[in-house]
Amino acid sequence: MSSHPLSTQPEDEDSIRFEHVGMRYGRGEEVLNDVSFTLKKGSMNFLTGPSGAGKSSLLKLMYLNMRPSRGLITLFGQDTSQIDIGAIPVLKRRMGVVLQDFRLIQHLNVFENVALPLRVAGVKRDAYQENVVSLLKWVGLGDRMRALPPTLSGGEKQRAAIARAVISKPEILIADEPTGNVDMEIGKRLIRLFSELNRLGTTVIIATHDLSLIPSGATHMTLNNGVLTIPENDNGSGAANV
Amino acid sequence: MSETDNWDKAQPLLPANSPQDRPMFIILMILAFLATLSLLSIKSSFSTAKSWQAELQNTLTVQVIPTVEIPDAAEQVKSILENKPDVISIAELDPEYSASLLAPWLGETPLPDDIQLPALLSVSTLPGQEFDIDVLETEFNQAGLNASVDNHQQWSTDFKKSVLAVQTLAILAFILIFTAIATAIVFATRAGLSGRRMLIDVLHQIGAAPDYTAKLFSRRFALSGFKAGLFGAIAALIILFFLGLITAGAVGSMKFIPDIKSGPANILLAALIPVVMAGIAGLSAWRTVLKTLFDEVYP
Ligand SMILES: Nc1ncnc2c1ncn2[C@@H]1O[C@H](COP(=O)(O)OP(=O)(O)OP(=O)(O)O)[C@@H](O)[C@H]1O
Ligand SMILES: [Mg+2]
Repeated sequence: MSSHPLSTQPEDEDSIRFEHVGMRYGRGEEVLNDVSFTLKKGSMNFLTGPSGAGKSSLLKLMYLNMRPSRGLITLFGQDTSQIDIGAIPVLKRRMGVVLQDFRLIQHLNVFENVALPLRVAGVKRDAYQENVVSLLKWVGLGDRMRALPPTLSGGEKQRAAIARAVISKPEILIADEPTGNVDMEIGKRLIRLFSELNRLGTTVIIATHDLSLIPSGATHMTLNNGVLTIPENDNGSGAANV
Repeated sequence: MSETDNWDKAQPLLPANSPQDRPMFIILMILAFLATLSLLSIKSSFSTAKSWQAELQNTLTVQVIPTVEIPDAAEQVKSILENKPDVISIAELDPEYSASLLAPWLGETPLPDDIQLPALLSVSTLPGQEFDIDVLETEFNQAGLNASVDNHQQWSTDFKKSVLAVQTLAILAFILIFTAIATAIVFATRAGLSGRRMLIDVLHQIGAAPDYTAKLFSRRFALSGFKAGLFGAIAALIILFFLGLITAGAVGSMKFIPDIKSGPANILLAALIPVVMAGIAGLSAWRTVLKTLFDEVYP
């Protein structure tokens, strides 16, 4: 599902909106400087930039891991600075996050790791078991379901982490260097997986070093020293300057 | 249809036994053992002191020195006492026993016939009645009898003081042991949580409510606190049971060792240890998880 090419959508068509956002760690320098953009619902976006440019920091703001030091962030049409703390878990269930270090729980097998978001949401085991199994088969982990994370290869861990991020069909998928540890071939396959999800309606944003992974048609945002630039020829389906 | 049909149960999010918690578990078990011993000792010191006290309070010892004129002085004293309504019974100490009490000082040589051994009467009285010793002694004297009465007042006062000292020490020891337990539990909980920080973060990231995570950890730590307390308390009870068997032949009132066969009270008291430990552990985990989530994970 792709949004309308003409950008006069109502507010709730935006998954994420940043307005003049600045962010610093503690009392340090701003690592994000006056960042403004909008991610349209159902868009596919890539965020690139040199190491230390602030990509991970920008994503942390999106998945509510940090607060901005200035500016306004709107998530699913809600001002994040006004969100009641009790509502944060509910918002978090609407997004899937893949981090570079995978964050798989070491004592849970692949199946349990991937099922975790459903289990936490109170879904009965009978109700999610088949979904988890078929997703694991789809990402090529069908025969590794009972393996514990320490016994997985880098690429397998990555696919498990991605499966966990998408199992509850999130409205937004946020991935920080999801292809960081794998070779080109697997990297391309993982990106295809994200595109597939995007086709099903999920807004996707992926931070990566690797420009060659960006498929045509995706929006390409660039961070440099905390300053964001978005190409002017953007067709309106993805990120846009505010 | 699926490969997971034979997976009857979900893996626990927090496995009950993890090697990283073991050293602290052992420390807590030992502390629980000590706490149980000290708690039961406090209880037994109170009940033993009470029964000794009662024995002392309700007995008088009357020492009658027979003279040449009145050789049956002891019998006369007895009959005076028997007429008192508050006297329950009178027992005369066997003269041979009296002699044996003197043996350490006088040796085994028989006493010369003209030296009469005093007769010792043990008089038990109705509880709660204070005999006026002076009145009693005057009465004996007026009857021409040489008898002195001891209500163990001095002894009783000294006894009370030393019992109080022992009890104070025992209670102090218990408080210290329990403070150590509480501190160790809080420490263990924090260490256990920091070792599982990623689980807390991930649960938060995938949308678990703070209560869900707090409950998960709270249950798990309450359970291990309970287990440590239970093992410690059971070990203490077993040891007391066997010590009780060994000392069973000792004189009835010499009960320094808590007697766990004397009804369920001691066992119930010992059961408090694991229950309270579970409570402290559960509460501490609950608080620490919520604090972690609100301080660090919710910016
Ligand atoms: N927790 C932190 N505390 C203080 N400074 C931080 C912290 N995390 C990141 N920074 C700083 O913020 C800046 C941006 O870091 P960030 O991780 O967002 O960059 P990045 O674009 O993701 O880099 P990379 O491509 O290497 O992952 C860097 O200068 C970094 O040193
Ligand atoms: Mg980064």
